[in-house]
Amino acid sequence: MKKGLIWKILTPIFAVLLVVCIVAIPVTQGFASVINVALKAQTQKIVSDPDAKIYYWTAWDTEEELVAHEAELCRQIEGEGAALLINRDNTLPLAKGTKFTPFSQSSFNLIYGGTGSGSMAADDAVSLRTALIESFGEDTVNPEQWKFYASAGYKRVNADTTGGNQGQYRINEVPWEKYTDALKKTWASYGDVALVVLSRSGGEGADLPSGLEELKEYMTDGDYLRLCKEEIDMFENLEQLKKDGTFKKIVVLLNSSNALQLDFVDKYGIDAVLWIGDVGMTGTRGVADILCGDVNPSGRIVDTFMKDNHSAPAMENFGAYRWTNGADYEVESAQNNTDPGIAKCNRDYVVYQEGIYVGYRYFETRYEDSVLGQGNSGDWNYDDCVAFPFGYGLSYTDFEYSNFKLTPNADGSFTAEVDVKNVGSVDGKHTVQIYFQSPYTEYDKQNLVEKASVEICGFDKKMIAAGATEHFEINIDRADLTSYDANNAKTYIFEDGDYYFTVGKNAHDAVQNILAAKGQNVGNAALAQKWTNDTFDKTTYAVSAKTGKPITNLFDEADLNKYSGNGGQTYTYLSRQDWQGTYPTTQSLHITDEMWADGLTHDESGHIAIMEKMIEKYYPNAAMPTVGAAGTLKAGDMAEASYDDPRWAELISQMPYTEMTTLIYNGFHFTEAAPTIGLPGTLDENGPQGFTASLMGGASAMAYTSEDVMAATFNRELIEDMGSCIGEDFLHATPEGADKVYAGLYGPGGNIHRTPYSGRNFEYYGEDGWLSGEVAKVEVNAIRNKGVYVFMKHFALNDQEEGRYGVSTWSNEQAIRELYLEPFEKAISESKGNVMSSFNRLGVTWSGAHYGLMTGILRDEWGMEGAAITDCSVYAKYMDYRYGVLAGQDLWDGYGMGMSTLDGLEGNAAIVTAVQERAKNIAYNVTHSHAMNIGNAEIISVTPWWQMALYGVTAFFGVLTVLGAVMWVLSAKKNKKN
Amino acid sequence: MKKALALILALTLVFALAACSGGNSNTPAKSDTPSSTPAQNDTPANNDAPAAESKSYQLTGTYEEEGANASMLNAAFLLNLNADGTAVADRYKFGQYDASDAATNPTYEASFLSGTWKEVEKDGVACLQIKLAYVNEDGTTSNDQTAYAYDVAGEYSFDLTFPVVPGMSYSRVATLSGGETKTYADANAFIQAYKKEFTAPEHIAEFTSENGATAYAQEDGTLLIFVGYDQVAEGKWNVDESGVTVSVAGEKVDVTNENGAASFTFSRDPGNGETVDYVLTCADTSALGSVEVAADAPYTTTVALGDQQFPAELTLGEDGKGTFKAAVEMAITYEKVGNAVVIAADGELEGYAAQIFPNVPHAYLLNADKSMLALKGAYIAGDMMAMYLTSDTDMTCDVFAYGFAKDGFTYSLNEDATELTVTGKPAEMGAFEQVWAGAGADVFTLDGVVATAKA
Repeated sequence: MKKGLIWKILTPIFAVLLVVCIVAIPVTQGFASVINVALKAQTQKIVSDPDAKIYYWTAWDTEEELVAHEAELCRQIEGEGAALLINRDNTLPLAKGTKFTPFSQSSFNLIYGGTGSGSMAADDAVSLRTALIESFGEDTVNPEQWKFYASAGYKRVNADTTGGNQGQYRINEVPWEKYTDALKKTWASYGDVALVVLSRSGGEGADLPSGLEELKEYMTDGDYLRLCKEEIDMFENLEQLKKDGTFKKIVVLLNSSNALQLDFVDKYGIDAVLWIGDVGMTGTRGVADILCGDVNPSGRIVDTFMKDNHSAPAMENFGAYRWTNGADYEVESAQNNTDPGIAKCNRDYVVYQEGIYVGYRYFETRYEDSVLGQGNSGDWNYDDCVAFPFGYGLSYTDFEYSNFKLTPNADGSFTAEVDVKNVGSVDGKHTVQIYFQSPYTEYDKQNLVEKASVEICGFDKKMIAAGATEHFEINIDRADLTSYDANNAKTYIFEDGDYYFTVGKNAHDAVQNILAAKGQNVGNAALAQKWTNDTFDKTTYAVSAKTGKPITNLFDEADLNKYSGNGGQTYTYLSRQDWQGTYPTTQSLHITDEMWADGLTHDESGHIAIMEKMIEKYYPNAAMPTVGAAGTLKAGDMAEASYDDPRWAELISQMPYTEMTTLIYNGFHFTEAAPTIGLPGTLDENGPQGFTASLMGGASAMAYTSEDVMAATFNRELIEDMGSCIGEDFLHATPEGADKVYAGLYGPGGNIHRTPYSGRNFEYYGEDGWLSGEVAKVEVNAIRNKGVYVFMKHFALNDQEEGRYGVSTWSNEQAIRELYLEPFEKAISESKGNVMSSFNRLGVTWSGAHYGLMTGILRDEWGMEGAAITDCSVYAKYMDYRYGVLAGQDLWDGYGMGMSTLDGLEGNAAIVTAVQERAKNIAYNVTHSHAMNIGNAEIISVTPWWQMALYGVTAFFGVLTVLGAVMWVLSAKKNKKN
Repeated sequence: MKKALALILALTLVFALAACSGGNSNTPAKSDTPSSTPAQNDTPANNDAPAAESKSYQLTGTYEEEGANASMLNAAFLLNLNADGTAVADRYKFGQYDASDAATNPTYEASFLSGTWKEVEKDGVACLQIKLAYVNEDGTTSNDQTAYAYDVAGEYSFDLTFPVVPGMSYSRVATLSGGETKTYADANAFIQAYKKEFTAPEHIAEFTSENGATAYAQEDGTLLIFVGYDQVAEGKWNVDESGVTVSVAGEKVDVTNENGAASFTFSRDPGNGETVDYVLTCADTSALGSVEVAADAPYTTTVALGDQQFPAELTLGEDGKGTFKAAVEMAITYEKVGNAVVIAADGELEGYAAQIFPNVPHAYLLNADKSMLALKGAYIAGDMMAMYLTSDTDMTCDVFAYGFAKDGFTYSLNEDATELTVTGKPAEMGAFEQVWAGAGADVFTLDGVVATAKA
């Protein structure tokens, strides 16, 4: 071979590889955040402050003690949250030693929690069998039946964790003919109870199907919440076996956060029905506690359980409805989210045409009008619709109410008092529920203000010994009695007229008592009290009690009837003025050019136009603030600073623009560090059943029950304990030496059960906004007290999964405020919570870009301090940073890659002003979390190992290229010389 | 010379190290202090020491889906539960059609997931407890899972959840089953058992790009665009006086025709928010030039003309015009009504056509198999629902946007066919009740193909 030929060949190869590496450096830099997370690469080094003050300490001596306490706590929550719906002939409790034969493959494969971001690792959860044996003794669960289900080959199918759809759900119950004769022979030996478990899963991304044509071969009418034919067959056979004496009792467990259609519970010889929701890691023990009588059931359902799930008016408009002219706007080709299986962002709409009449607000109000013969209720029959009302639940004892009294207080609040006597023979906890009715006046009718016949406004729970009487005193905040008048006063009003207060064992009991007070021959008039207000008050509640700022309409453009760009499309909200005439119908809508321009557009020019309009409207006189100033103030100096401390402006002014945008762009389960101000980065994780890191490939901490079971306990102490433990789990989650601590929770969920079919009902407290808000307030406060910032999700009106990416949600302001914002309000204004904005739109505006929601409500009315994060924004271009930051959206749960639209806007005074405010809010969250246990530390940026490797490889090829070139030249010279 | 080389190497290393020097501090240094982390976490579950078992098992399973991610996700899994208590799951992404030796095969991931296993009795049932996780470069684990495999019909079976991107949320589920029999001796045997061969769609010409895309031009004018082995789009090709023309997903794209070659750019977002352009070139378009693009196959049925049955063909063009052939061919215009069309004569018909056309049905329900069903009429009601009059009395309602149809309706028309009254509904309306409520009424005013609910 000719001398030097090898260098002639190798040198260009080295050069090409060098070029590849050089190009790779800036390219990978653009995706650095993603790569860092994927590779778990260290990006910062913290040199802690030797004088650091530890702001948040664990209350537990050892982690083992905490874990043991949490296991017991989950059991208690289930024990107090599970609601006994039917108990014929005192079937329950069952004696120790009772022998069970479980029925349904779900008895072997319970639902411990939902799927999706809130999913939890349940492989080591306590099974039903284990819990029963612990409570009833060895050999009390038919072992052959258990083995049969393990190997039967029939398994429930949930929708995919992400990108799932309704068509994936399967019940897959074992057909009756699969039970062998040999197996049947074992039943009599375990024949005290046929324990039937009916489970229905739910999860992120996929609402539960109803009427889905493709599922009709698997489910009755393609409806996941009805009994399927295999289950009907099973019940029919069990009924016969009970008649034959093989089984003595049939007990049913409803293992779902989605209310099954209970049109079957009076059939098939069913003796008892216990709703248990999703049970968490150890909740089965709480179920067994109830079955054996160790715990007297005291849970109260937080949804109306229906005989016909489609009898709720919200079902007329539940789902993702395609714009009829979407093709004209090329909505199918809009590139807004490339997640597999995720629908486009501007293809669908949904109309909350039922207004405030969700759940019991509909059924109990129409019931009252039906009894009183008003409101054109027609031949509608309550009993055809409702199986069990909101707040319903039985006990193993009975409670009697007496001496109900309502006292107005000087501060405007009321005190409701009642004596409750346990007239049974066993001790038991009891929840007193206070309901009110505000007057439905001519003013309301003229101004389209709707009033429910009853609303819950107070509760308390106490243990009452058998034969004993407990006195309850419950405070009622007058602000909770107001209504929002969106059409005349355009603020909250407290009307003149007759108010009724009552103590009811459930919502229906409450309305019956009020009807009795009105002279009807139902209920108990002694348990209701009328109070008359003489003055129409439209000023007291027109100002935020928290901030002093005025309260007025913020959502006119989310109400299609008021939206100026509606193109003549209107509809009528359900009104108790005319139930039949205003009953919702499925709405058919088309996109108008105004809708497109105002928010649906997916064109860059459209996005810029929206940004310009927002600047003109909300930042008309923005002056360029100071950016990147010299200074010595550090994040650690602000750990105890109030939100309005003027030093915040000084601190943030030290940050360069790109450091702020980096902070805003990158929040996918973490926050970035800001070395300029010594702000450490943090890690954030999902709830709501606890600290559920499993979705990100890590291990979960304790997973509690579904949120509705938590709410159904009506026990603030339990919720507080649980919140505190969730906070503790965060304190304990960070491995030694880790560069970031887990400091933020994505949860709890604050949306409501608008219908039984939402995929994420397990993440929400129930159908009532006020009750949800009361529970959230306690939980959030307890978590926050452990130094964990809490992003309640999904703010707001994200009450379904179908079309959630950008679905245009139309509602009216009264319903928005009274039902859908109320779960969040007290957690923000009283418990220092924060929010995660939702995927959907309010009207045509993405929630994170809705100034009225993100600034008007959150900051101006509720006084939120700190940051709001988005829902997952990876590749979601419609969640544009520009109009998000202008609206009050702080942090994006994603990465900037491919959509870093704040880049290049460092000369735009409005944008920079907004960006500084966002940076402040993120910094406020972090500095007021346990991440600041490091004190005023030094945050050193660390080049992650993969970048180091890339630099090294680049240098290596650089050396080789230079070496090769030199050798090539020398060889050429040598050859020439020769 | 050696000194010079050494010097260059040293200088280069200095530069490299300088580039690699990690952090910089923007704050005054402070002395170290002990970590203030209040408490520590459990070690990963997967760190459990393996329990030696005398038995070993081999379980296999596949995951397959269609779509643009198929080649990245579709795979066969080989899980060996070894006698030493270790569990090793290999993944073979057969959708990338590489059946080369496992040792160097980039689509074969040995130890994709790994961990431990043991025989246990869980809740009284003998089963295999299998702990698996993705092991990161730094030795930490992600996507830890504990699964229990039960004996189903003589084979152990469980659902393996595997990450789409290790350490991240997206996952898929593959059912694995097997037993003590070691079906596959090694990875190569497994590859050979599950390998697939890519078969390009039938085509008469290829457009290729330098970055991995291929468009297959089929004889009938269909253009199938692949990136790698995944079909990502479908279009049409044709030839006119300007040369080759191309449309993708119904939209015409610019084609450069030069010296017998044709090229066009196809753009696609592969899922990372960045658009990738593929310049697809066919160096020799002569095969295309010599082939006429076939028109869409007609829809067919039979129609009665007098006492005779005639085959009928309906061909639909893209401009709302087409032809209807029953004994003779007639030019027509058409309007789409959901999945049906309503046809009208295009201009004044003459001769036999003028006699025949009034006597054939003017509405047809189009089926995917290119057959069609004659209708008495078809109307759009409320934008999203079509009403197909299948006989003089029976009607089917179709929410075509959702593929959700219901038959069993009955109707009547007034004398001048300007008003349609729904006289009966199916006994079991089910969820269709909602849809029907959206239509707004039981009486409709008819105007052309539009049915408007009568107040």
